[in-house]
Amino acid sequence: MIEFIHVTKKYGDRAAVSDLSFFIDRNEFVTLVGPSGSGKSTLIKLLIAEEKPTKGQIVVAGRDITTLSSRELPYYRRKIGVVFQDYRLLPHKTVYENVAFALEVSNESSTELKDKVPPILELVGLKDKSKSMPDELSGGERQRVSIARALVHEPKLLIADEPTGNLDPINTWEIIDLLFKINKKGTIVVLATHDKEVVDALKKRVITLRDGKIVADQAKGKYIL
Amino acid sequence: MGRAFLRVIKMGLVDFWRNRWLSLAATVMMAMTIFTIALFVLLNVSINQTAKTLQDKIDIAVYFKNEAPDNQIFELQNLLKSRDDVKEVQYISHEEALKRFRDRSKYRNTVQALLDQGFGSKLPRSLSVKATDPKYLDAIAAFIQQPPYDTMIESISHQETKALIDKYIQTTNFVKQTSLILSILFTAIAILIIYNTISMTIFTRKEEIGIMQLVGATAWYIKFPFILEGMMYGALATIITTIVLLAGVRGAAPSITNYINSPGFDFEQFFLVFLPLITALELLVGVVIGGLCSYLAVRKQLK
Repeated sequence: MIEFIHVTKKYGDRAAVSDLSFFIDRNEFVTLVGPSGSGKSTLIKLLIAEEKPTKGQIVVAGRDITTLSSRELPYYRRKIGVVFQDYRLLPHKTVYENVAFALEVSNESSTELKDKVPPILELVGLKDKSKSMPDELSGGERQRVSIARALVHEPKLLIADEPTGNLDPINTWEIIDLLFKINKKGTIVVLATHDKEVVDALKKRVITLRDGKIVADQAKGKYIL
Repeated sequence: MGRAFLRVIKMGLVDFWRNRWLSLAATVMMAMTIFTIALFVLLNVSINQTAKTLQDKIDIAVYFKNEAPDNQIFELQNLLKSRDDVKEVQYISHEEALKRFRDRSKYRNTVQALLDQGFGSKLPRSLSVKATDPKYLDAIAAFIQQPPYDTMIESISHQETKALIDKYIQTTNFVKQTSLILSILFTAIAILIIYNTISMTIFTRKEEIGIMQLVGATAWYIKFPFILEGMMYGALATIITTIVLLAGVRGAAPSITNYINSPGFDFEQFFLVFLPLITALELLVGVVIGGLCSYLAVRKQLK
């Protein structure tokens, strides 16, 4: 489903990631770990096609995304969902509007909006808060809104970059549970995290990066750094 | 398509209002630019109108010696009339010349008294020749001064008027060039200000744009509200300019009409005829400048 083939990304002379090769199958839940500067963020940027590799290919669902034109890029983005540590919600829009926004900019009709948004809000457990503004929510709730927004396009791939980085342990587990639930419904989840406890408890595939290289790729991995 | 279009238009309007102070600055600058351009267009049109009336007044007056026979004068008149470059030839007899002089000297009592005593009863007969274009006057004058008519001519006047016309054309050319340079200067300033304004509004919305890109908005969808915003500066500026221009012309029309002083010419009427054209031109200039600046600013910022 996702394949990195000898991918190298250089910034100037420094290689942020070098010669990465791995394969992620459908329905997998993959955790990316590694210290700051290990190349995790670069890998995520490559995967959402925000950056293009210096060398190598990245094939997603049979398509080499390194060859996407700027015209095709938005349509690729609609097929993947992305969640960040800082939520990236629109502060002047309600929870409902924030989620609907992703559909609006993809030119979907108001009826589609009404059909798709409430079930997603129910899935992330925010049905009662659909009229709340982001600043009225806790960190965990905000992150759930951003997950709802990432999921509203029904992507086959959800990428979460440090989604629990700003959250306390209880909220962290709520988010991880939610990601599990989403994975069970058939979505690939790629989770980049620092959190040793989370990684150790997950008992899922772990890819460990250091200095831009894969140092470990275990089926039921632990945080080994 | 239609749905996205409506959403995008709504977004453009909301942005315009959200950044209303920046929008105001850009609109005012745009209005000043458009106003300057419109003013100079008007100025040019007025100058051309004045030049036309002036040129209509230019003629060659050929004065004949008293001993020249009438029939030869008429012969010359007919010859001139048959020329392509001659518009009109008018014969002015002794009596007509006297009458004209009398009319012109109406308020000068001394002259009047002299005329009443019989002086000037032999004012020279003349032909007043108008050319289809003033540039032919030299050729016509040369033709008149050929034999056999040269011997019967007392004097021919067109050198003085020619100098005057040349001076006038020189001045108008200067005015036209200055107005062109000023228009270009103002346009350049407006472009810079609008470019900056749009860049600033983009900067304030950087996060929102980032989110839009993240959730799969197309470049067009992101760019169009800004372009619309720029076009709105132009449209609003046109409305402001037209109102100011109308008020200004209302106030200044009588004195301009007086200045141009051409029979049947009323500046306000003249302006009202041109108003739709000028407004359309303003709108075109405003919308194109606004839209283009925004497009360039957005393209640069969204790379």
